[in-house]
Amino acid sequence: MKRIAVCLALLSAVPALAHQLVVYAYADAGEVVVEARFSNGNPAKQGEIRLLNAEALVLVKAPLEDDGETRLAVPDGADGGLTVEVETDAGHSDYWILTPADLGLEAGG
Amino acid sequence: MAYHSIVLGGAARSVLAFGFLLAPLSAEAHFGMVLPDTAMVGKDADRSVDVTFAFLHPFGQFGMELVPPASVTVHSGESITDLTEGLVPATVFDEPAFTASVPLTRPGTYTIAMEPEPYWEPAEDVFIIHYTKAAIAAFGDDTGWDAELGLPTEIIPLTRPFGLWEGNVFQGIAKSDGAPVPFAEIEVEFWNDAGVSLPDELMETQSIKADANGVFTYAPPGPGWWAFAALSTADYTMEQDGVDKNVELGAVFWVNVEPWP
Repeated sequence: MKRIAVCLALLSAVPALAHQLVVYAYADAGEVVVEARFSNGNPAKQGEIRLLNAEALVLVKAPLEDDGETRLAVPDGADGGLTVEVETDAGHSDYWILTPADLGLEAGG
Repeated sequence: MAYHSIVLGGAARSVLAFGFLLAPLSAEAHFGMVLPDTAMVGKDADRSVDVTFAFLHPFGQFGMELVPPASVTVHSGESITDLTEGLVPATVFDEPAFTASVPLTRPGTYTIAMEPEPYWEPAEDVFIIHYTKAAIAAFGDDTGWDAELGLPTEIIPLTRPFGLWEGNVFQGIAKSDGAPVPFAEIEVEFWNDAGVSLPDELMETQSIKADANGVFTYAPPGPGWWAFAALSTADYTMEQDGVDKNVELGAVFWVNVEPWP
């Protein structure tokens, strides 16, 4: 019985290890919408979002929402674009780049 | 170029050889082509990929005319984008072809499919319709690489069709009208832009067959693009000069292989 339990634990651990985190973000009505999910389609539930400006300074830190989609106000200082970083509690990380044009800002054309 | 082992003498041989050089049709396999300029697009790359559409012999690097296709569509998740009207005329191996810039809006697999108009091939006395596709991964996400588009005949990948190491196998299911084709005939050719030479003419087109479930397997020996064509004869005919002719249907899939370091 113990052996079966160990095997089941190993099997259940496989998806989290094998699937990559995929981050995508877009601007909508003055907000940055961050989607974070694993490559099997499951949302990333626990982790941190960081919005960095063009000089790689962190402008905003926020926790991930449970459903994998988090909305954050576009911060001041985003004129040169944003890098959206997500790092989950399990150590997965990924990013998405929002250009000034993606954000609807004049500076980037 | 084509290789023919017909023994003729004198002038007849010269004329025939010259003819084959101009039109090397029978020893090489025809393939529809959907060739992206890259198979995996990174996050820092442009958010589009250029794709070439043609009809040719991939190994022999010899082209045939591609008239404007009946349709070119891009499939990603639930999204289908029709690029048919936006194709840009081009030339591939001195023959008409087309290009398109495919926009990539978000991470995922984008499968690009072309349905060409029927091609009349007098040398084989058949019409040829190759439903052709290729898949690319955008921004580090391969979700959807196993998508089935619902083409009349289609190779459904069992192996991810990009990001393969050389020496990996590529495995797929040959389907027609959504059902596996037992013992389907599959032709495989290398996109020979590297100028690989042949030890024998038979090496140009690799011939394999699917199993009873329509599943086939091939191990590309080197990096680059490899074209797989599952061939069948349509259950209808088309008219040429007042005579009904058979129609060869091809499910063509272009698969990308990366070099093992």
